[in-house]
Amino acid sequence: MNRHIAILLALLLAAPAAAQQGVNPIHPLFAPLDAAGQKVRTAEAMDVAKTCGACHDAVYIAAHTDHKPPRSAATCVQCHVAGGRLEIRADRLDAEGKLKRESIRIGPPRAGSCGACHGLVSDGSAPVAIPSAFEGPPEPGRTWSLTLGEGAVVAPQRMSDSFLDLEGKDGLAAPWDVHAAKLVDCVACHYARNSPARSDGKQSPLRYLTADPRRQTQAEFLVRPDHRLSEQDCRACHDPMKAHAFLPYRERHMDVLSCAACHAAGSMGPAAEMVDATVVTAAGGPAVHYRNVDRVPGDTMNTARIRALRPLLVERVEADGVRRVAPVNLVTRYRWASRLDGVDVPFETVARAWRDGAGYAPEVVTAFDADRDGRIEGAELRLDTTWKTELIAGRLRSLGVGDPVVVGNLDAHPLAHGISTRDRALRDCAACHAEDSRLSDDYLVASFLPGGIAPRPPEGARVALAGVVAPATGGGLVLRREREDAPGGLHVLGHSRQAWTNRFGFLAFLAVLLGVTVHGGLRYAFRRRRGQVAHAEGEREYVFGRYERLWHWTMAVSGVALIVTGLEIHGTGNWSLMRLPTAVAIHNAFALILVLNAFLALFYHLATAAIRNFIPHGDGFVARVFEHMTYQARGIFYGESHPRNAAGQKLNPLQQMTYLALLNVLFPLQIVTGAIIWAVGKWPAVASAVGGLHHVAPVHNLGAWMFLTFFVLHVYLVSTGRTPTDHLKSMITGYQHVDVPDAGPEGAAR
Amino acid sequence: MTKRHLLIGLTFVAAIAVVVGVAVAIQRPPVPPPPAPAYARKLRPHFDHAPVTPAKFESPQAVTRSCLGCHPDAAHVMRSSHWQWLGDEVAVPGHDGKTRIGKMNLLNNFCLVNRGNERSCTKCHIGYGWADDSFDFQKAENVDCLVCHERSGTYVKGMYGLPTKESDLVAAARSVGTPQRENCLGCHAFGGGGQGVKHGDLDSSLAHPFEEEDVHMGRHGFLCVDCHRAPDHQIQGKAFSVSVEDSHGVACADCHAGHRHADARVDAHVKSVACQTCHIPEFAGKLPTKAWWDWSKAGDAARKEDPHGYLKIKGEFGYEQGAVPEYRWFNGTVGRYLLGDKIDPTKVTQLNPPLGGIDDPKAKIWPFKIHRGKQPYDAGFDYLFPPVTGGKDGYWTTFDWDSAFRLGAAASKIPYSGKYGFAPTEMHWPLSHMVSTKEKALACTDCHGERSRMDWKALGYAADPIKTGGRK
Repeated sequence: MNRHIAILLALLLAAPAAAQQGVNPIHPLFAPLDAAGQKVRTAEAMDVAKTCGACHDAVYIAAHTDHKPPRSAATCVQCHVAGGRLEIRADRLDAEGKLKRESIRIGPPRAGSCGACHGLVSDGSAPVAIPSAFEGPPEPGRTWSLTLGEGAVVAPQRMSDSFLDLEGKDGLAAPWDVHAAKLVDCVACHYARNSPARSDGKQSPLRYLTADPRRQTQAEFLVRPDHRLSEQDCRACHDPMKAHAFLPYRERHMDVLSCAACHAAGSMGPAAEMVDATVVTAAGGPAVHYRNVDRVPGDTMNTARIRALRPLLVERVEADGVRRVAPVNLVTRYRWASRLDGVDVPFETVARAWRDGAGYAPEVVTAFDADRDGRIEGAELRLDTTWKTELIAGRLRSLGVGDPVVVGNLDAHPLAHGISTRDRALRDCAACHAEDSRLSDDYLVASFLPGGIAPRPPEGARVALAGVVAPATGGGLVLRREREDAPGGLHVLGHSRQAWTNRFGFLAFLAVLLGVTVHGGLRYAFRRRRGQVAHAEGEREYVFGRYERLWHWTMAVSGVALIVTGLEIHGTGNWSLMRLPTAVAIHNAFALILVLNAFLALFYHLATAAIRNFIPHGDGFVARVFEHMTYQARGIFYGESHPRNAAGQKLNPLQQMTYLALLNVLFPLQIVTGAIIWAVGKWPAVASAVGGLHHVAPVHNLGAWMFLTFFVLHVYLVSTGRTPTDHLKSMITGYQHVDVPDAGPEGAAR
Repeated sequence: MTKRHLLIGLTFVAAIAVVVGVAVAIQRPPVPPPPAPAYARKLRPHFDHAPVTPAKFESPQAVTRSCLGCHPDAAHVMRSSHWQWLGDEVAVPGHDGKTRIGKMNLLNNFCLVNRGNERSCTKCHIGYGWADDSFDFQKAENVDCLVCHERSGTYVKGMYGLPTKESDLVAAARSVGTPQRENCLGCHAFGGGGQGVKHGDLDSSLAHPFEEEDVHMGRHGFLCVDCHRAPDHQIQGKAFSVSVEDSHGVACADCHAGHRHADARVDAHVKSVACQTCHIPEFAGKLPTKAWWDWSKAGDAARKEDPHGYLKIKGEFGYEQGAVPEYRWFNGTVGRYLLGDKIDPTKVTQLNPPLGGIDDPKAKIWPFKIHRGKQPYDAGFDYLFPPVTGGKDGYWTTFDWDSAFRLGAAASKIPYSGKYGFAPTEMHWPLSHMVSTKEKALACTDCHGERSRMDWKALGYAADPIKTGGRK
């Protein structure tokens, strides 16, 4: 039954392929010629190079094309004539042997012409379905690479209107390919390089020229088109800066990401993980293992459930020569080759080794049919043991293949086609900016290795696979990446961690937290033993002016807000107090408030000479430091009074040292590193100049831990006044109890 | 703390809140528009008429008298075209002066003409007993209130608009309320003698449609009267089979005024393309509609009968289902063939050609169902002719066109030369119902590119306007 459906579908698909390209009204009438230049009356006898070469420079074109043998055998007719073939019959020829006008269906290649070799392509006249040839015996030149390689289906149709069983199909009202849907065809991007109709045909090395008027004419172009086709990327037509207003760090994203990284994040076409041509399926083709197809034996491709393809993000040199993070699909391709001459064994020969007439050879069935149901399907069809490999190798040898071996290649197909509408693009920040970012998680390369052979990575590829290709549990290969292996050495906000700075900062924070807990606990215990409670009595003195208090609390609010939002940014998705963009916005706002506040306070302290409080008094400084340390280590437990500060100073020497470090080292460090991180959105060059965010961010992170550490200490020391809340009250009212009649005023730690 | 301190503190907090608020607002992604509101008008629960309905009505007119007892204003309906089968005075394009036109006096290429065929035609008149010229259009008790307002589903109109014997007048009267979709569809889905014959976009599937078939009725539960409102029983809406202009009509923009499409390129279409063109990608999706009616083949007793292919009394038919509309420029007015207008029988006569063209700024490209046919004409005087088909001596009984023409000449007061023939005609039915969901709307490739459903040359463009640009 399934086969009948498949045949029906194939017929349905074949019908649009035959849909006629329009008659070309201006292409001159011509006579089909054979290799000797004689007029012919059948398509078989026609020589394409001779016929087209009568006017077009066939030699030039053959020398300037990407579709060269042996990789491709495409002819003029295959790409430029409707249906890929010229119908030459007696009734289509005039008296002079020329084709009549109605047969001149010649023009620029249509999507269908390209799709005839490159993948699943439809003009939308029938629901998208997968023809049986998709998994049939390989045909020369027909790679299906758009679909098998990239998961792309080039069709204007809505995905929900297709025949395929797509996951979430009801909601897939978007077209398979938004460009096809909006009538942007293959040649819109892949055009002949010297076409005068294209603006980049100018090929001028002079930067000040925006156009070169000395291009070849249309007529010259038609004689000598350069068929090394252009490879335009999205930016040739789209200006990403005009379309991503919602995105934080927009410039940065555009600098380091390929458009496809987000826009080709969920192709719904069946993409291969492995094409295993060492084995032969019942349909007579190589076994294809897919990344995004759930298939049980018996399912055709049209009934199997297809999920969205999750690509691998790697660093890739894009069409404009810039390295960006781009999505690829890794496909391993296995085949038999002869070790004697290094030549691949033709698939027909492999098929003959497996088959005996119409079905599998009995010997093969015995070896491979593990469940003894007479069929070889699913996981049975694998060269997973040496003796199975040897069996097929032996059968190949008997067919005259010298020393057959299994060879495998690892190909990385960049995802560039089958881009759907913008609402299908990846908009989930946490997909990259989270602990389990798809930028560096493990990626299955192959679920098993035919013949136990590891695939050869491509040579001279534009794609860099960061990480280690390692054996996977249960066979096969997996690409393992560490966090630091994020492609391009990127520091990915919310994901990348410099382990030691983070750990060190956290340990310092823990140590201080532990210290103050022990210290506070001891104070409490000693006080209970002493049985006397300090009283908030006695004289009160006005120690904090109105501005000082305003300044302090502004700093406090901003500091707390920065720490909270900073932690939120630091652990994207793990804290979930607020969304990342909100946290970033609040963090930036409070950073601005804090910096302004710091400058106003600096001005105040300089103008009123209050800065003196912060500058250690030379006389007996060292002695006073020891005095204060002794007090904190011993005297405080016995209810002794605070040691004296230097005459006329609000801060004790320990505070002075802390604040000198805080204000002169930590503050500038955080402000500068924070500004650099913020500026990456606008001026990424600044961050690159100091080695990139992966150096700057850990410093900012360490500084933040230091601030948090300080904050804990600060809050604790507030409680060391005459009563635990005395210092706190003083920072609200301005008045503070004088500790002992002879003790100098002790300001709350600031 | 003094009041002043409090004030300073609050100001300070407010300032921080403002700064943070601004920062968050600047970076906030655009909020998606709220889901579409329920457009359908909320209807009041209708007064239950059961307690005030008499136990028995001796005639249908008695029901109407009973209605008028409480609703004397309802006699307004007698000013409407539903009652008069004539519109207000209009200038018919191509004709001098002003005239009143309507079902009363117009020809179509379905059942041809009302006059002389009242027996069946007036089944759909909102009156009782219109059999001939003697019908009293001034008598309010002749109005059929029930056909529009009853909800029992038991009420069926028969010959001359009188209820069938099986109709339960009391049950119908007890059930009255706001007209339901079924009330309107009872006539508007069955015009032309059967299900979906005339309108391609109205058939009884609209009583309970899925949202893909009609998003207004299927998803939002619209009633006909939600769009076709009826102040003083003057029901809004114009059918271009019997009207020539669209005053007092209903338009998409009545509700969807100022709507912008997300894609500016799509939005640019609005000035040249009617909403219906993209949003009604096909018509007659559920039930077929008549596309072809050849009267000249009628009367062949030897031919096998099939309600969708051939009937001896009516001739040959063609139906289409899931049909792709045909597209024409249309500025909201149509021409009209009036009784007596000369024709060229060798050419297709347009009964109601849509007016406007590419150069008419008010015209837009509209989707049409076009009903084609061959219908009787007077071969001596060269005009389309209104023969009598129904009734005792009509064609359907005698199968004699000549006598049917003579009867028609008397009924419609038009001379008959004694020679008859059949001439090709077309009627245009602009589509406005069966608006599908936006996911089913036409996309670029439906009209542009090689698989276009538009005949751009016929519409007056040099070529596909995606390449040559739209009209200026």
